[in-house]
Amino acid sequence: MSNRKAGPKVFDGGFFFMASLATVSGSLVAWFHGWPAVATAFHAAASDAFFIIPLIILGIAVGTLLTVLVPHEVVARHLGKQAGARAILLSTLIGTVMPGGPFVAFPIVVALGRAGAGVGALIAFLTAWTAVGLHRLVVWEIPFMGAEFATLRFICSLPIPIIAGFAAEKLSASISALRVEWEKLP
Amino acid sequence: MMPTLAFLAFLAVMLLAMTIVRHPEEMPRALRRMRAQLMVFGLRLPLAILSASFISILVPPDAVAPYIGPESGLPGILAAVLFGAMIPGGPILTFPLALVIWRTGAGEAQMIALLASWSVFAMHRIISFELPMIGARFVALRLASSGLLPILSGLMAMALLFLWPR
Repeated sequence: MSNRKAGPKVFDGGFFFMASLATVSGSLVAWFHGWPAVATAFHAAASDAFFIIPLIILGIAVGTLLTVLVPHEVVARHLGKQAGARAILLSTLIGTVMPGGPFVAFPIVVALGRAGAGVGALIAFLTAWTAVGLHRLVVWEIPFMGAEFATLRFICSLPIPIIAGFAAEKLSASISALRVEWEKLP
Repeated sequence: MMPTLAFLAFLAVMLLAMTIVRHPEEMPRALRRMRAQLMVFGLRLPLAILSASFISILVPPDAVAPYIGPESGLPGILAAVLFGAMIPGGPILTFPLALVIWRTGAGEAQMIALLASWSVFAMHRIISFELPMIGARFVALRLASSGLLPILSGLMAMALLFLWPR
């Protein structure tokens, strides 16, 4: 990830995928249900967007400011210092609150793995970041699914990274095919 | 929605104040990052919401509820986990899609299992980040350790909803 300053491109595969998905699904609606149905869909989408987009804009603001306030050097420093069960619990906590996308999380995991951090802690960190993730809760879940659903989802996801961390520690200790060879990574 | 909007606005203002006081030199970088993300989302998200709206018309109303409806229990949770594992996109695609599935009659516990499964399996992320950067062994270890846990999330949600019904 050498092009860290470039950031995400605006017109890349993701954009064209979305554009073609909208075109194809829209054509199918016109074909099967006629143009009034297309108009209905536009109307429904507009009223959804009206509620969701302001929340997403605020979510992005919160996420970006958190990234500035909690630089990932701090995250890495705290993650690398611990060991054992303490490390798994702490990694879960750090992964939960750590903002940023995959281009932030994965380099941290690689660097810490090379530096000798426990694999249970790394898996707990990554799983907490993806499955519990406060950042995702704020930017995506609350706008789309509502605060109540988001809270329930948050509570029910909390055990996942902790169990995964302990399981990973056991599995990599007992099955050699699952032992990550950090020194051989590119 | 209004309390949520107010809460997020409050949070944003607090964080903005903290950033201005503690790291004023970082403000230009934060604003640039915000603008970049808004450009990306601003173009794609309306398209995703529109697609989701089209798809909700195309999907017959009884296509979802019998499988992952609120009454579908454990089999519904398993079906939701399977489906969540197959969603190939990031949040921009997944959340509009999840909203459609929910509105078509999926149960809350099943939705939680679906989203947990999507976040644990996340094919797109495995392919574009995890495999090239950390390798197959790490992916295998991670999936072996956490692959079954979305089922647990769904069951927990079911238990919580049973204990505190709305």
